[in-house]
Amino acid sequence: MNEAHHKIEIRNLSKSFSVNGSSNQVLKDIGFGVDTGEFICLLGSSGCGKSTILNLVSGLDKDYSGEIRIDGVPRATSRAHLSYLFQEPRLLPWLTVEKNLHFALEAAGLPSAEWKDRTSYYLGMVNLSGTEKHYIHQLSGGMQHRVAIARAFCVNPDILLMDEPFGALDELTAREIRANLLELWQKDRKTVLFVTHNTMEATYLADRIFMMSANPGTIDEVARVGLDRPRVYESEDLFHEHKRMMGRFMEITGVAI
Amino acid sequence: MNQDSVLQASQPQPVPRKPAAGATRLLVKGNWLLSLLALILLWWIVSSLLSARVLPGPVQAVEAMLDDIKDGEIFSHLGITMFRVLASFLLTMLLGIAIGCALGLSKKLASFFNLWMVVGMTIPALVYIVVIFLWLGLSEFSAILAVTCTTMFTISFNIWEGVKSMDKKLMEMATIFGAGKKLTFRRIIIPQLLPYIMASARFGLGLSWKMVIFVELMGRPDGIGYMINHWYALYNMPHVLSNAIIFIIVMIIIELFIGRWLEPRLFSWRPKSSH
Repeated sequence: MNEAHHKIEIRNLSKSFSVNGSSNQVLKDIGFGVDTGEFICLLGSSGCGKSTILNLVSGLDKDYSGEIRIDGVPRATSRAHLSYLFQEPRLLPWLTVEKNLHFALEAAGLPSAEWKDRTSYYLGMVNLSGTEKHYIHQLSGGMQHRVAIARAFCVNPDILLMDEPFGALDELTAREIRANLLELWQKDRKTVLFVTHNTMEATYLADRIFMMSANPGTIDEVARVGLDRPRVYESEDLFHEHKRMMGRFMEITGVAI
Repeated sequence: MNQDSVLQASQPQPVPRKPAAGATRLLVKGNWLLSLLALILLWWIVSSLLSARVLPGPVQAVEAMLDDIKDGEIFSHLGITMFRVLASFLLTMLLGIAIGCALGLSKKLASFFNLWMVVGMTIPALVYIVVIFLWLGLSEFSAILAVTCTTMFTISFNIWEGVKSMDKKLMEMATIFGAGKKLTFRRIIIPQLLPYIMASARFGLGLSWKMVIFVELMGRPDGIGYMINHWYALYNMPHVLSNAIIFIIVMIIIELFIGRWLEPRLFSWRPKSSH
């Protein structure tokens, strides 16, 4: 692998679609580079196009102008393995927890000899040992999200994409799962692109925060989070850093309180 | 009865999302023994008011049944009828699933063939039967084909509905994780279609056997439908009822097998509380 390349490199990325004849620009001149093992949060209010960037990087949406490269290879020809954490867990209810992970492992083409070890390791990492044979409906909402995290990590992906995965959870459960996520990430050091509208969440998770504004969607500021890891959600440091981030975010979006 | 099944064949049937309906639930959930006794009692009361030539009582029907069973000829008729039901049912399901999937997955095919489907479904069963017998002769193949034509379109519609209602979010998930066609089919598509396939199968089976009896009456020299017609021509009501009841019992046993044994195994992942 050529180290000169960014893991993800985006240049002059624009996207627009027309509604009733009038063209609507969703993204304008987006450009950034993400290094291997970096945790990036895309922060913006709803409608700023942050999820659109994920869809473009994931390859689900192929309609754009500009350049998206993964390991230096254009998106269309890249064979990089991606994982995704969706807003909902998107598990398969007809399969057990274990079989849900096996599905992803089979899809990623990992040899079946490794499935059992990977499954039990990653389920253990999200505190779900013993639920292997459970069906999805037998788990709580928070547990389902943890299964989705285990599924996302167990396939040894090149890049992890996360689209506001904890938005629908109550705050305490969300904190627990964020801690889980960071713990796993610190072991595996995958490259993460995490979309959120929650400044606190972004400050807690990210190495760098890409702050976006809408109409058209642009990245207006890249802020490096000045906190050591492991981070503690209730700490003074995080509180102050969050305040600083919030101030910059409000500046670029032009909101004053 | 014939009129009834013709009507049924020409209307799209909504498929319940949870296929627990049908005879099984009625038989299992209800107080079925009491219900059966009440039905027989009602039959007995009505038959005692009418002459035995019009409606024989339960006792006479059972006597005729024992007579038929002792004679043994009924079993070969039952066998050939079951063969026709099975053959046309399998053909219906095969074509129905293929057509339903094709229409559900391709918008172009769907918009082109939509009209054909509606026409195919609206043609009365009697027309299919008469036309096929006229064109292809009174053969075994014609009989099975005629039944298949009357049931296939409805089943296709149901499967098509199932394909349309598949969760696109799960397909996206499979795509992003890199699942190939085979894996996607096995783990994403089939499990979502299975409830529709099972509901269609139970409905299709019910429809097929009614149509088979009808087709046998029209142009076959054997089978339950032929026998019922035979006894009808002799004005022998006890034996008409006997033949019908024996066949109904066999079909209820099959229905019970599907509902009580097969479906709980296929859908074991479902929350139990939903039933």
